[in-house]
Formats: sequence, structure tokens, C-alpha cells
Amino acid sequence: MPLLDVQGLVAGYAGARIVTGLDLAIEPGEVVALLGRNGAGKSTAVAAITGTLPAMAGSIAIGGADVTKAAPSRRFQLGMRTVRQDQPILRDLTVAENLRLVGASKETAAEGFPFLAERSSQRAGTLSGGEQKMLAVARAAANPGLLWILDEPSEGLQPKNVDRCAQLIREAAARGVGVLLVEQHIGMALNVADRWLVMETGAVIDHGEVSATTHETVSRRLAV
Amino acid sequence: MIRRSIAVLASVSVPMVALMLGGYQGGLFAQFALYGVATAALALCWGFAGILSLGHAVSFGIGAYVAAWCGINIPDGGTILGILLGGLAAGFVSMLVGLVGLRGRVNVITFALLTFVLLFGAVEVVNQLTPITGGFNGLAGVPSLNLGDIWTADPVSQRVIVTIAAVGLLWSLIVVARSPFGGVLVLAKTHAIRAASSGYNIPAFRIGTFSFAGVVTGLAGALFSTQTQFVAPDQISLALATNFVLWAMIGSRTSLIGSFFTAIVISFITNELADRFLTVWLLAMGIIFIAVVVLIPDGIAEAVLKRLPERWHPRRVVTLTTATEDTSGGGAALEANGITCIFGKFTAVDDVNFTARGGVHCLIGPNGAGKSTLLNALSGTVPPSNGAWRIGDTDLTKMRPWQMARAGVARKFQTPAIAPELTVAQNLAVARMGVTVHPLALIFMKWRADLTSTAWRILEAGDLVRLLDTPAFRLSHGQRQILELAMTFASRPTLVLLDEPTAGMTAGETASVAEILRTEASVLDIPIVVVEHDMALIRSAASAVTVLQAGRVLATGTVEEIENNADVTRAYVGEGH
Repeated sequence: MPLLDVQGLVAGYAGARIVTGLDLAIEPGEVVALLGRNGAGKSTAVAAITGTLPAMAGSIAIGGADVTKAAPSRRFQLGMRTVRQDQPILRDLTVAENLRLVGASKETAAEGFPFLAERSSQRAGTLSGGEQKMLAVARAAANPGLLWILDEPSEGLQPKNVDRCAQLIREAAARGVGVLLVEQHIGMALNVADRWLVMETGAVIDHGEVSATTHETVSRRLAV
Repeated sequence: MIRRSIAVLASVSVPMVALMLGGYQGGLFAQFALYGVATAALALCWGFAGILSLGHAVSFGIGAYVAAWCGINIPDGGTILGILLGGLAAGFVSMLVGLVGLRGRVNVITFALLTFVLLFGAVEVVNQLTPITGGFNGLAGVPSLNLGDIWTADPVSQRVIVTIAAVGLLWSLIVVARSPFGGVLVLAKTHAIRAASSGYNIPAFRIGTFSFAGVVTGLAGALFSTQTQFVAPDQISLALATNFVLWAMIGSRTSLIGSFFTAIVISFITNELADRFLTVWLLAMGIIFIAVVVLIPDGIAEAVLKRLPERWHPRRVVTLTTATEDTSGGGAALEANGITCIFGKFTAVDDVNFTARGGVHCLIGPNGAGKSTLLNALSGTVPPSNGAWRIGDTDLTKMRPWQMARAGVARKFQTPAIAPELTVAQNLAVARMGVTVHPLALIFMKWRADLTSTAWRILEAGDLVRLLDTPAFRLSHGQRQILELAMTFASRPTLVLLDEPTAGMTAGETASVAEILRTEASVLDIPIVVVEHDMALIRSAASAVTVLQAGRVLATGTVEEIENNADVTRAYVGEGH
């Protein structure tokens, strides 16, 4: 049974269907990269899967349990962890408090990103844009659950930290976590992922195994 | 244009209704239309400028009392003088409140509480100042509209004139709300810093809007006292202030016409039913209000619009053209000396010296090195603790962000800062106008702007040209990045500061943007300072690179020099790149 099973998902906003019929499944330990141009519907799909936007049609199941209408808190209980694209952390809490909320110590988090230990008493909203992203990824890594939904975790990260982020994702996958990775950074995505999907106008138009595809093939699919 | 037809219909029908309803009902209608004007003025401040007044009845009451007092005590001057003075007095008080509460960063709740306290003060003054205000009894015998001995309005012309004036006042509010001036208010509501960096002195916009709403509300209150021929503490009461907020909320605070008619309709219903079912009526109003807040939080007008087919939706049509190319005026270098930013004990930027000449100058460094802080300092968004910087002969050190924008400094923020309620084209027009148009001229300007060819190329690269009339809240994160980048280049800059412009863009879009930036910088010979992590963009576009680490400059040089610098590799790139 897939960890995440999305079938015929339709989502959007009043008057505009942005995701028009998305099917996708993620098995335990599998990293799936969701690629696509701007406006293809990736972030809207993420919003519907994580429960911040109601699905208009279709179904979403986590580990076999139907969560199509479930609140984000219920999805968290079933093991879903989310890194949102904007505002990935709680700005008014300190770094340490952000970590404590997911049951993590700053020491564990610092294994991934050492700066988190040094800056643990700083208010998270005053971290730089890239640092907030790393804190969000560290939060997921510290209490990994079963399923990660990551919306552009590498955005704004320096190359070295993109590598660390990729490493955390691979480690989680090795322990059986399923990962949906939305990325513009194709290099990073194909480095980490087992499979890739390309979305266009709200649905998956192409997919493949990373091992069987070259970087250029995927880039070309995206440019179409 | 459904909103326009509704508005025209309303303009004509309001005085007609006042005429047809007959003496008693018609008079009430005229009064309620004035409540409607005050409610619409509140909606302009709340729904467009994002400033809520809980003491809106103060403006209404000041207008009513000043006009009543003048009407009674200066009979020769007629009522006109009193009405004008009433409007001015209310506007003046609003301006004072604005000067206290709307400077700098505005917290909606703090300002609302300020106006709430003001209301209680005003109520106290009215009740204590008996010789002038008549205390609890108010002032009776206010004359109806007249021009001294020359002319006095009979009841029919009185209510027709009052309702025509009400429609006129409503129109003046609508003109402001729909103009590019209103667009600036909406942009500042979500992104005050973006609006400032587009060339707008936002506190002045807010204080001006609040004062204007005060004048309009004061005029409505003044006309009200000539209509009822009586003024009482009710006109400056908590109950009335609360009603204005409720009517605007139920009618839609983003729809002036919706607020206007909601005030009239609810007032009529209240008047009809309150006497007969007093207790039940209050309960019913409470339930209706709660139901609206829960079911249609944006109010009736917005809820109705949302259910209409897309093609009926009102979208401001914006005419965007291409500006004639002008490649002169470049050649100035950005020189920054000793820039230091200290937050508490943390030194984010430490004595940075930095020169950028014509070309793309990339600013790289580990996360948290102080790149965004440096950009914030240079653009005046977060003034540095120390340091000086200039572009050519223009000293930028003491300039506020809006002054910098008018001096040609263009800025793009890290997370896309746009007005989600405006269309793509409106966002672009607002960004374009900020550099050259006088704030007051914005009120009377058409939605028309000429964009640079660079802005158009950016829009094409992101495939946004076909989405110009789309409301920006529909855009994806990457499309918003494209839009804000195009806004940055809407007019000809002399210095450009970009914070991670291509984050969230696809590889193809990144390549196009890199090419556009490179061409722009070399053709115009202007410095484009870019905070960026994308090595592909840096390699293809940068003519110089400065590396920051822990707030200090680690190295400066060409891309090649930086890539071969061992210190940089260790601190930034990591092994294997």
C-alpha cells in the first residue's frame, strides 16, 4: 500500500481550477520529485495534499487512511511533515522553541545545520531567508514521521547547504520515509529523487525513473 | 462593467427615491444616505488603506455640531458656511489623529484603539460643554438649508439636495478608491515597504486618506443636522461608531457602493422594526451580524461578485505601453563606505566597503552572512547603524526608501512583494507611476503607464503577458517573482538592488533573466547588485562578485577569481562543486 496515494485531485480557488486531475503515489523510502513550470499547479497541489486548501474533487490517502477532508493536524498525526514555501517556520518563537515544538533538541538539529545550535535563542523571524528554510528542514528531520512534503526546500540556500539538505532527505528516505519534493533546482531534485513527475496545466504530463533518464531529458520536458 | 452601471444607476436613483418616498420616509432616506456616505468613507480607510477607525462617529458628530452651531448662531451666513466648516473641522481632527497614529509602521489594532479612546473623549466633551453643545439635550432649531435671506429650502428640495450631495460625496470616495492612488493604498496594505521602495511616502498617503475620509464624513454629518434640524449626542456616540463598522463589514469593506447601500437598508429596517419588536430586533441584528462574519467574512457585495460569472467581474482595464528607449544617464557607480548594521548584540554587517560599477555585481556568501541586510541598508529599508553610500554624485545615505526610488534606485525583495488584490497590470502601473507621478496627481490619473522594454522582456520570459488582467493572488510563487522583477524595471533605474531574483524560477526562466540583466546592465551602464546562490546565473551574468562572510567582505573579484579562491570554496560552496 502506498504511503501517499493521491487520485484525481482537483484543487484551486474560486473560479479557477489550478490542479485539474492529479494522480500520484509514493511508496515508503521513495523520493519523488514533482517538477514543472511556474503556474503549473505544484504549490496548489501541495496545499491540497497538506490540507491547507480544500480539495474540490478526488481523494488523498496517507498509509491507506483517507484524509481528503481531514485537517492538517490529522495528517500530521498520520506522519505527514511539511516544509512550506513561504513562512516555513513560526516567526515569533525562538529557534530552540521551533525545534522543541516538534520534540527535537537543538543538538540533534545542529547535526544537519550547525548554525542552529549557535543561534538557538534568536527569534526565528529574524533569521535570514535561507536560514529559515534550513530550520524548517531541520524540524522535519528531527521528528521525521513517515511522509515529507517539501515545497522548494533548497530555495535561497547556498550550494553547501543545498548538499546538506539533500543529505538529510536521503537519510530520511533510507529510514523508510516517503518524500514528495517540489523543486525548481533540477540538479538537486534529480540527485535525490528516485522518480520524477512533470506537471503542466494542473496534471502530470510525463514521468520516469531518475536512473533511466538524463538531466537533459528532464530539462527538455520542462521547457516544452 | 457591472460596477460602473450599478454606480450610475445608484447616482440617479438615490435622489429619485428621496423624492418619491414622500415627506416622512423621504426625509429618513436622506438621513440614511448620509449615514451611507460616512460608512463608505470608513470602508475607504479600512478596506483599501487597511486602517480601521472605531471612532468614525467623531468625524460625523463634529460635522453635525459645527454646522448646527453655525446655523443657529450665524443666521446671516446661511447654512453653507457651517457645512463647510463642519467638513474642515472633522478633516482637521482626523489629520491630527493621523499625525499621531499613522506615522511609521502602523498596527491596525493600535490605531483602532486610539480612535476608540478618542471617541470616548469626544463623547465626554459633548456632554460637558453644555453652553455650546447643549449637553444631553443637544441643539434644537437648526435651520434647514438656506442662503440667508435670499433662499430657504422647502422640505422637498431640502431632501433632494441632501441626497444629491450624498451621491456626490460617495462619488468622490469612489474616484479615490478606483484611481491609481487607491492602488497604492492597496499595495501598501499588504506590502508597505514595497510601496515605499516604489516611490511612495506611505505615511503621507495614509494620513491624507484618513483626513479626506474625515472631511467627507464631516460634510455628511453637517448635512445631517440641516436635514433633521436637530443635533444630539447620538451623532457622536459609541452606538453610531459601532454601526458604521458593522454596516461596512456587512456590506463589504472593499466595496464603497456595497457599504453605502447596506447602511441605508439596515437603517430603514431598524427604523421600521425596532419600535415594534425592540428586544427581538436587537437579538436578530446580533445574529445577522455573527452570521455574516462567519458565512461571508468579506461582506455581501464581495460575496455577490464572487458568485457572478467571471466575465462580469470588474477588473480595472490598464493601458500599458512601451516607453521610448533612453539609454543615456548611466555610468554612475555605487560606492558604499563603512556600512555597519547592528541589531542588539548581533552585528549583521560589519564595516563593509563596496563599489559596484556598470554591470551585474553578484553578492554571494553563506546563509546568514548579511547579504539581505546589506541590501536592506543600501535601499533604506532598514537604515544602517553607520556608513555612507552614493550613486555617482547623489548621496543616498539620509534618503528614505521612497526618495531613493524617485532618485532611480530600484529594489526587489527576497520574498515576492506584490499587491495580491490588484491585477498584474495594476501592480506594474503602480510600480511605474511611483517614480515620476506626484501623489495627488494619482487621484485624477487614468490607469495608464509606459513600461520599459526591459520590463516587457521580463514579463515575456515568465510568460506573464497573457496574464496582465489576472488578479495577482492567482499567480504562483515563481510568477510573483517574475512580476516583482518586472515591477523593479518598470521605469528606467540608475541603480538596481535585487535579492534572489530567480528563486522559485525554472532553469529556463533563470537563464532568460540572467541574459536580460546582463544586457540591461551593459547597455545602460548601470550597477545591478544581485544577491544570488545560483551559480549558473552568476557565471552567465556577473561582471563582478563580492563574497560576504559573517558580515564582512571575504573577497571581491571576477567570477573566475572567486571560483578559484580557496577561502570562498571552503566557506560557501563545499566540496565537490
